[in-house]
Amino acid sequence: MDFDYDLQQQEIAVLKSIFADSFHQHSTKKVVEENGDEYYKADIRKSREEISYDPTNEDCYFQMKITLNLPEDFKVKVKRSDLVNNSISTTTTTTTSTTSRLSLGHAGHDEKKEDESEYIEYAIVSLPCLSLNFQYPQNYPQESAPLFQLSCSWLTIDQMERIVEHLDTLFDKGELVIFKYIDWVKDNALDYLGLGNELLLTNDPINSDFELIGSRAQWEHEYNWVSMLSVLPRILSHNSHESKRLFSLNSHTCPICYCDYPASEMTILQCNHFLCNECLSATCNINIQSKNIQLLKCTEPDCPQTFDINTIQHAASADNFAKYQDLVKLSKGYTKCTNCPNGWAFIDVHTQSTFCSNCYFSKCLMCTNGFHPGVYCEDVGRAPTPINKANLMVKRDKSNQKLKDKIQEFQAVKQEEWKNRNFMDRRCKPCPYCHMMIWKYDGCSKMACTNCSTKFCFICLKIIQDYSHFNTGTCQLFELETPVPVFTIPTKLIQEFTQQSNDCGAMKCLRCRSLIARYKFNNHLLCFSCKTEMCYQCKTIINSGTKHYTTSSCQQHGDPTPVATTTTTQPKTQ
Amino acid sequence: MATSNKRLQKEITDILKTPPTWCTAQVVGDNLHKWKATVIGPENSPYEKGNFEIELDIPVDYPFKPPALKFTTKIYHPNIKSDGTVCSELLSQNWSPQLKIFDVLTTIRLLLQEPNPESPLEVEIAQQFKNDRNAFNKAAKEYCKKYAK
Ligand SMILES: [Zn+2]
Ligand SMILES: [Zn+2]
Ligand SMILES: [Zn+2]
Ligand SMILES: [Zn+2]
Ligand SMILES: [Zn+2]
Ligand SMILES: [Zn+2]
Ligand SMILES: [Zn+2]
Ligand SMILES: [Zn+2]
Repeated sequence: MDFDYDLQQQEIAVLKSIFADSFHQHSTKKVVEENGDEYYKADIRKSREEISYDPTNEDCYFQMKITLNLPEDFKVKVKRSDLVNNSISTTTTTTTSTTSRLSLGHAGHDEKKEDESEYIEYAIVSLPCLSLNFQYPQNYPQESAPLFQLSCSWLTIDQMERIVEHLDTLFDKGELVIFKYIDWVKDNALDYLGLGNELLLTNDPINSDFELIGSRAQWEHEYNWVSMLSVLPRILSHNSHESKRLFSLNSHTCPICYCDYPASEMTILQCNHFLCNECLSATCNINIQSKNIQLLKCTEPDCPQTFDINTIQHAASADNFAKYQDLVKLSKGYTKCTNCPNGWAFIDVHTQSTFCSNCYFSKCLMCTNGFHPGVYCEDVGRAPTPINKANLMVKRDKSNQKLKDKIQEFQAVKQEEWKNRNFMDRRCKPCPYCHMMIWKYDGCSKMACTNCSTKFCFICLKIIQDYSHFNTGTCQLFELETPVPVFTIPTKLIQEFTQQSNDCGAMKCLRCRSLIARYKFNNHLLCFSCKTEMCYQCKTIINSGTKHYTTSSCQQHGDPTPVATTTTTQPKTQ
Repeated sequence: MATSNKRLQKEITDILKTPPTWCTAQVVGDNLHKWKATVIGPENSPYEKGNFEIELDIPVDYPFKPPALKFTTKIYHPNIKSDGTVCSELLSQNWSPQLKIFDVLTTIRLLLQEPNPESPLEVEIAQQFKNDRNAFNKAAKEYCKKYAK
């Protein structure tokens, strides 16, 4: 008996010295208060502290927290359909094999493919520990095996019971066996359960209220867990914590420059991919300078993890970081105000103008003068002419063949002239970044500034990174027809025309004050300068798509007529 | 510069050690930043069995910037200009400094296998590719026979 006790003490001492933080002693102490009340107090001691082993205390037991060794490519898998309504947001690592590591850009069709795979896989370097709780009977190891129990969060009771049964077979009388247990669980348990390379977490319900009394297997769970899937967040947070800790212990080879660096000179991203700080800085600075801010991301091909702003701030030079922040603004449809030092002006695509909410300056994007709605860029500063009115009428009067021919003839001459002219027009727009005027002579609407190489959409002047802009918005990659500039029609033609057409009235645009003529008594007016729609009758702005003429007293055509004279609307009798 | 030279040295060594079956690559003269490669047209494409020579101009910023490509063999393809230039966007859009010259060649091979008519350099060829695949295949094959020996 004393011999058993000595061996037991020996084993405890060795476990203490080897496993340090993962070895604990639990005991329950009876406390008797002065008034005679008794209660039990749990006492947990880590092996760092002194462990006093009392074989006579039945409530005293030891706990070994075992971290299983995982193969390098170990994965936790969940069925995609099980996660559909779940909102666990973590970077997923999928195994969709692509023939090329560099996907052929242009459209984001590669991501779709990944979404179709049945399982989501997470690369895992470490799983939460499995606990081996044990007590020594007095005649261990000479006669009896130790009493033990397993608990774990990610194994089912059935799986743990299979381990328990196997551990039972490892004991030989007279031999200390705890080490053997630990080693076997560490290295062989997963293979034994057929989980060698992957652990599948299913969503089959587990009734956690039902606990087998006296079972040597316990599921470590939280009160609201319903299935093995519930453990996924715990596995993922443990894994990312552990992988960062493991990473910090060693030096690593940078996947870009192939140099070895200690962890302190590298950066590990949320996705657990890493690179050396030098390469990180180079990636940030070079891509900011060439305005490819979409490349400020994990360098592992196919990994979607972007650099967070703190990472960029640390890695990029101060100049480049400021530039980066500007680029982010620009990509959201703003441009730097040219009128005040710190303002950002919003670009209005429809009016081709900008508006700065800091200094309230509004600028025309075609000529960089102040916004001049209703006046052609060439005419800014000149005395106003009734050009708009005539223009509108000419555009709409398709029935007037004679006038149409004249206009066409006039425009043909003008276009010929225009082809030879090299002034700023609709094919020449300012770069949203450096304001250099960029001439678009052919090709698609995805432009690159020849001065600063900013990539932008020639139609809406937003800074863009790739072609996806043309798949989602209203801007077309290829304009179907060459844009024809609108030419001023000479006064002679206007006079001729205004004589011919009945004057149906005109009003000033409610928004930009340019003159709009009513055409053939149609009360629904469109301002050609600012594209605002309004009603000639009630003089209010109306939105396209609203049913103004069916829901108000206004009529779309004609002038209001007295109610009494509506004889013409009566049905004719034969 | 130090990074790019070290990378390129290792990449060319790796390619020479285990040469891929469908492409070759070599450094031109003693300038590590100029490479010459050949890509063999993929099977079941109109470029099958063609030998396409490509010049690679590797920037000093490599691998943070992708190489520039130019076909020196004439090819009929919506994404390759008649003078052999390839849209620089092709590589720069999804470029990662972890990608190697070999990955670039793989991408080229993929482009031969699956042209992308949605962002063409040769608009007419792209239209033909979309509307009359047989005529496109025929023309591409003829070019291949004539130039890509
Ligand atoms: Zn590096
Ligand atoms: Zn990553
Ligand atoms: Zn301003
Ligand atoms: Zn203007
Ligand atoms: Zn620019
Ligand atoms: Zn646009
Ligand atoms: Zn207006
Ligand atoms: Zn009205």
